[in-house]
Amino acid sequence: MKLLCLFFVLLIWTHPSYAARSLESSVLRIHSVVQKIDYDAPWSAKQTERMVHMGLVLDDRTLLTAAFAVKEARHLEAEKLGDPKRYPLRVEFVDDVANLAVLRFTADRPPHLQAIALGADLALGDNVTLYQALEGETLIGNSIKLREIEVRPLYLVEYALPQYVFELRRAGYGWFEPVMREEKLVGVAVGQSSSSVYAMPSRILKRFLEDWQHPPYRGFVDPGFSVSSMLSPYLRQFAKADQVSDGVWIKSIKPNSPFADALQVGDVLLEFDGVRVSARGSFEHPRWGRINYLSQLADIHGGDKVTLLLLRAGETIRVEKVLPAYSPIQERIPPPAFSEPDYVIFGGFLFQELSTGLMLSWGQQWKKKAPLPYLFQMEFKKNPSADGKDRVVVLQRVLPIEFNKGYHEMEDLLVSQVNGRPITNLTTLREALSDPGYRQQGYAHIVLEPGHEQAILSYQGLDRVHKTVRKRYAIPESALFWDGK
Amino acid sequence: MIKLWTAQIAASYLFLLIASPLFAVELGPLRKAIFKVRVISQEPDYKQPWNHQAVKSSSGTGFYIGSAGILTNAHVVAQGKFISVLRDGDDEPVSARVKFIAHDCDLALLEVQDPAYFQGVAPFAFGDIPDVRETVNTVGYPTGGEQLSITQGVVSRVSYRRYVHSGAESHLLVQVDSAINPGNSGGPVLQGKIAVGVAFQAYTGAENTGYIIPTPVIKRFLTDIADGKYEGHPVQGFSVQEDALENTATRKFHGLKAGEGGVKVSEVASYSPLFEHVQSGDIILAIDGKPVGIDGKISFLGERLNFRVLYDLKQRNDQLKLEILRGGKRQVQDIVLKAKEPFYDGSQHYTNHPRFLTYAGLVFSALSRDYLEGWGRSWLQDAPLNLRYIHKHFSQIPEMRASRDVIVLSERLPHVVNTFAGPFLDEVLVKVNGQRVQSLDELASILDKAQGEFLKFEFWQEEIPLILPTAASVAADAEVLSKYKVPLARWFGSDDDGATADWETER
Repeated sequence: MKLLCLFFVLLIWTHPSYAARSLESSVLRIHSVVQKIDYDAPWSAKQTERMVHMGLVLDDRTLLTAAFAVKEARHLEAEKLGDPKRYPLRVEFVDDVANLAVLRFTADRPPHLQAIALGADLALGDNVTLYQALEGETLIGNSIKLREIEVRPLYLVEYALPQYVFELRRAGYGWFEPVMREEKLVGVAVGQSSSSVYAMPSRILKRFLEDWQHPPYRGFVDPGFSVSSMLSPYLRQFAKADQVSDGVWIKSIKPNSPFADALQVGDVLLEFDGVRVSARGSFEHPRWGRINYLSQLADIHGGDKVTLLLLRAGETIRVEKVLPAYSPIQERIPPPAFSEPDYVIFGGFLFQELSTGLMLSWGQQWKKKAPLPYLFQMEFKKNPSADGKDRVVVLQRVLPIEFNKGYHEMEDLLVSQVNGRPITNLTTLREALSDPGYRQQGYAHIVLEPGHEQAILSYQGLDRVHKTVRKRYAIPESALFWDGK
Repeated sequence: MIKLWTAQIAASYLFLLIASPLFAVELGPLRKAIFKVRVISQEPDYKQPWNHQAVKSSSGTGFYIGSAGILTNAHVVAQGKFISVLRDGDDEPVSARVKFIAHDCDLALLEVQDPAYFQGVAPFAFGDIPDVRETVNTVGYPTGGEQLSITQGVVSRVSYRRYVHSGAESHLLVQVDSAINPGNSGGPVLQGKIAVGVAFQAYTGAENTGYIIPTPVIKRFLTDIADGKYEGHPVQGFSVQEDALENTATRKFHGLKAGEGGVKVSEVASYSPLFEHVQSGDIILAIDGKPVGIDGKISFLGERLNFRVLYDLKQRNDQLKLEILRGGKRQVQDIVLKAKEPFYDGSQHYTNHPRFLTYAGLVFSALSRDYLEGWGRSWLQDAPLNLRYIHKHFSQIPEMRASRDVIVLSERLPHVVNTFAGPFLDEVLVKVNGQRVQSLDELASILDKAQGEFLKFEFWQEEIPLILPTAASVAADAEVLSKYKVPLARWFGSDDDGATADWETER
């Protein structure tokens, strides 16, 4: 009898799919048809790609998945494991910052769906099961152990949130697969490296869903400053912070930060939202051990008050601000937008705003392969303007015709000035091109950097020129040609 | 047609010469004026500039041009520690040293200890630039054999192109369709018995594409060194928009007449000799009286060549006359070709003793292409972004203006005083204690005079300073140098090579 019991236990242990059987009414497969933006021809799109992610049942009408799963998706449908039917979906709500999206069935929905139950925070060393069903009829489980918690940016937006790190050397994870413990969802896999799987803790899913279910959606916040560790005793003495052993150096402040008027570079941040920050920028989390202070952002909502305790020239200062919801669209080089890409075609010159999406068009190795001036902007000039409206406008390429002969080779340049006006986004570009003085004089002056090259184009017969460009390069009527308004 | 016929006759003539023992007689004394140049070289370690990398041996060719001098390529003898020359037919090599070296145009002049060595040797005379489709013979010691090799080729192109050795300079060159292989470098390219060039580089992307340094560049080099010092080709420091004036509207806007050419200036660096003479947006209509075409080319040496070639063949401090069109008005500018202020030139320097400074275990070096090549073959992608950007866009960075050195924190020799300096490696130093530093010597003098409790180092595009305790840093210096076996704390001296240094004692 003992042997039989042991055999039975072993069977369960080696076949996690047994335990997962009931999960199949809570975890669906999402098929998407994705079309990426073609930055060289933003009026069209690249070839369609098919992708598969997992989706979690919220109720019998809605599913939860990753924002990156629905980004640039043209068509979405769900599949219940074991059910041959496909059920069309539409995007109900997306939060780029949390990298989460709610999908809704547009017509039919699979039968017998069961909402997934959310579990509590894990502690280091906890054993859990990661399920995958990107192919096949059943969920396949992997027993994994929580190794550490890292505070790192998610895929689309440079916004750091805590993520569980599980050791797993098998490839093919990170597509929103559920991480389960005692039949409850404790996390979802959102990324992978060669030796680990990264998962978003259920705490973030929970707050996202509560927030979404109780509108208005408050979102996440951005304190708008960055810090550097302060381990050097000499730096501490220099900053008159050697009386304490805690605190980090405030090294840059975004002009649109809620703390912009209260902070100075070189201030020492001692406390963030009531939590003491160490010289490495960490604090002791009750379940997760020592972790970066930014992990607190997971629990702060737009509209919440945040207090900072600072040390400036040996004096402590307390600053309290109400933080608005963070919108990545305000970044100077924003993540790819959900909406159609914006651009301007003027005399065959294709202008766009620099975005992380455009940078990614140079592939995985974009940090090495993208044009140097773009990388420089990305790395050293990324702070947004105070109103969050400044962008980096670029001349992506020239669509060659006789009209713009002499400039055919121009590409990947920054647009600094048009008709004597500084260019800070596509709106200012459109306005500058419409400058009545320059139009009357007959020539548009476009200054490109680095290199200070100047393109001079005629305003005469632009309608005809645009017609030629449209015809020769098969550009649809709806494309965004400069229309003089 | 006649030219082609001449070329065919010449080809068969050469074939006979090679096959016949009479050839040696025909070349006569000239054979004695050709040398195999053997070099033992050693490149410094740019991260730890007091150290050197492994010793390498290589060989090239050189030829006697009179005045006890052997002409060869700079790349043959760059960073040479021991150089010897072996005369064709001799059995014993003779040691030689570099008298003048021009990395910008890849030429060097060697001398031997005893000028009597050249007694009775007839030097090569220089001719003009060969015409396209004329036949030339490349003479030298390419790899694959010991004997003198002669290959025949036809001149296929004359152009103004990049010289690979410096990596950043373009000069006049001649393309020939004969293979130029390793070992050929520095050898004479002959028409009959007259030298019309020096073989120096090949294009590996296509077969039989060799390049030779033509006589105008060689003559410029020889004139430059006549005063006992090599100054280099004149600094340019301006950029033009090659094709902009092909655009009808642009031509009309600038007021160019029908059929009139010219080239549009986009940028003039603050160090350029043209600075304050020529502005962004000006059109250069003519250079020294030669009209510039819409393609940016002039008629020169019977070819259409980039207008810069005329500028480039001048000596530093020579005069240049530019006719420019600015705001619809034509004007003439007389310019002295002298750099206005120091700058980073982006070329490879092949330094023997890189200048550096150590302080509290931190090593500060000057940025150069040599330093960047430490990141390997694809350094243009792999080197840190800040360094790549400065290398490419130096003139466009206001904070770098007039820098004699771009100072990089190249290495940290760990000591308790510099424990937290690690994150600043490969960053570019711009200020110390609030004072701008523009050269390594200036940095040394600031550090030597420093008195406050702390030293504050500020780096380009870095928002956090490096703070070091002044007294403890000074105290750490000797300890670090002895612990890491650093033979000298700083070097701002001359760049003599090892071979030159002990020439007298070897005599």
